[in-house]
Amino acid sequence: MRNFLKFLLRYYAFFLFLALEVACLILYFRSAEYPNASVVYSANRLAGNGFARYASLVEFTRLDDRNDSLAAENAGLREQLANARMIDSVTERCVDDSLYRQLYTYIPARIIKSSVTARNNYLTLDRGSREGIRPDMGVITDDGIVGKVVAVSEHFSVVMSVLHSKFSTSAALRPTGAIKVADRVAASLAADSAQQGLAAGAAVAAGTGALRPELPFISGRLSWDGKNPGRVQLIDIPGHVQPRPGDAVFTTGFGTLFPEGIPVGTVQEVRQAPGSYFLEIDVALGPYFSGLRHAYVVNYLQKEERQALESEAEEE
Amino acid sequence: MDPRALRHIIAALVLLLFQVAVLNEVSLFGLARPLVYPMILLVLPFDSNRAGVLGLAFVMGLMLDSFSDTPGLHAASLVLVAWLRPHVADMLTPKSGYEGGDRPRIASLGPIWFVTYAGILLAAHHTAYFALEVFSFAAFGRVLGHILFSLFVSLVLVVVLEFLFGPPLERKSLSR
Repeated sequence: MRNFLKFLLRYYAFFLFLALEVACLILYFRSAEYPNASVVYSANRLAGNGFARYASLVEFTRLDDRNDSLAAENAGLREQLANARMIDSVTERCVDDSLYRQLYTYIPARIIKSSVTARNNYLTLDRGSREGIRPDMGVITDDGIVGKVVAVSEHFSVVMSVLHSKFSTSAALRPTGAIKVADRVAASLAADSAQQGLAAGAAVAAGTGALRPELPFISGRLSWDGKNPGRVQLIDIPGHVQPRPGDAVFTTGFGTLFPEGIPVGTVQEVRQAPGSYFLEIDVALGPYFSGLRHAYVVNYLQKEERQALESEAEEE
Repeated sequence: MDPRALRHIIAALVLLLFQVAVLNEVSLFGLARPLVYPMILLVLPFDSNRAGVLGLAFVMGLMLDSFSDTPGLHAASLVLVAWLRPHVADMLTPKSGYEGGDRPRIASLGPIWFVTYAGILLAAHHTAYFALEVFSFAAFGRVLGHILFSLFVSLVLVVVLEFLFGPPLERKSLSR
């Protein structure tokens, strides 16, 4: 026993080292598996407040950029006002509000901390459970998706960025070729209706594509390989599709994170995945991630109902 | 309190702040991400209490982790440095022993000794950090790239910081 104690005392530094190292590794791998409020630190108020001050300091130096993007967004909103629209359909439109139910609401938030350089990146928002943010909500910005909420405290929430090894969502593209085909269909429809003497309708159809049938979109999975923080990868797109650089990539609404049609970015490079029929596509992200300062948290109002049904169906 | 200890604590806090606010945002060519905070441990006196250094490494690592949402990652690599430190110092003992001074600094032991010492410990730290962060054999080449490029930048920064803010050099030490 005395010898054992002597042994412990002699190598106490080594045993202390071992104990601390094991504690660190447990902490690290647990947080990598289950990123939640108890281990993701910056959700706690202390660090959060510091980041909020730091962010407002940095934001002061970016007021110009912010002004530009606000102006652009204002312009976009103005276009949606009633007085900026006209009815371009030939059939009379019945405007009845009870037809449309709110499906998504958006909670605006300020990004007070973000990283792009690590393999697994997070962002911190200055809004939390008090404003109705819950884990597993999507986060978007004016020009693209940002990530999903993983941890929430009363005043702050932590977002797992798209630039994270565990982040994955479904995204889709409309290959340019497919749009050409659809345009031809629309044009022939317009020609048909012109032959029937409906000249006005034909003009509208040809001009605005109002009669264009719903375009096919091809969906795949979006994830990040950790190499370039400006580029994510879209996989599982079948090889017969021929996307071209510049094609838009957008969300599908298949998951519960994002509504359909939120932009993700544009196709940059298309490769055949080694030994596979599917393509691997590099997508240039819409938002410039390290410069992000404002975001919207997506609140999908039918999420609980849909998830309950889907999990029920999977169990059977 | 010993004024030298107080100076060391303030320097350590400034260095941590520098790492968190400036260097954590740096990524040269998407590969080099300098990590200079292990320097705080590197320049502690040789006869520091080993358990104390390990504890300091653990706490400091967790502080850094709280800023980068990686609980345990910085702490694990820093605890490794704290443990290796006395062993590397033993390994590099000069012929005349450590009579030049009780601290591992350029002023007392010369630039070549310091670069070897800091290089070995930073290499261990960076290897642990990037291997744990990416944690995938598939990305072996990229992890190696991260380690080598970051190590180079970190080492240059550490040596520059040591020249700028370390104890003033004497003529004797340069000729060593």
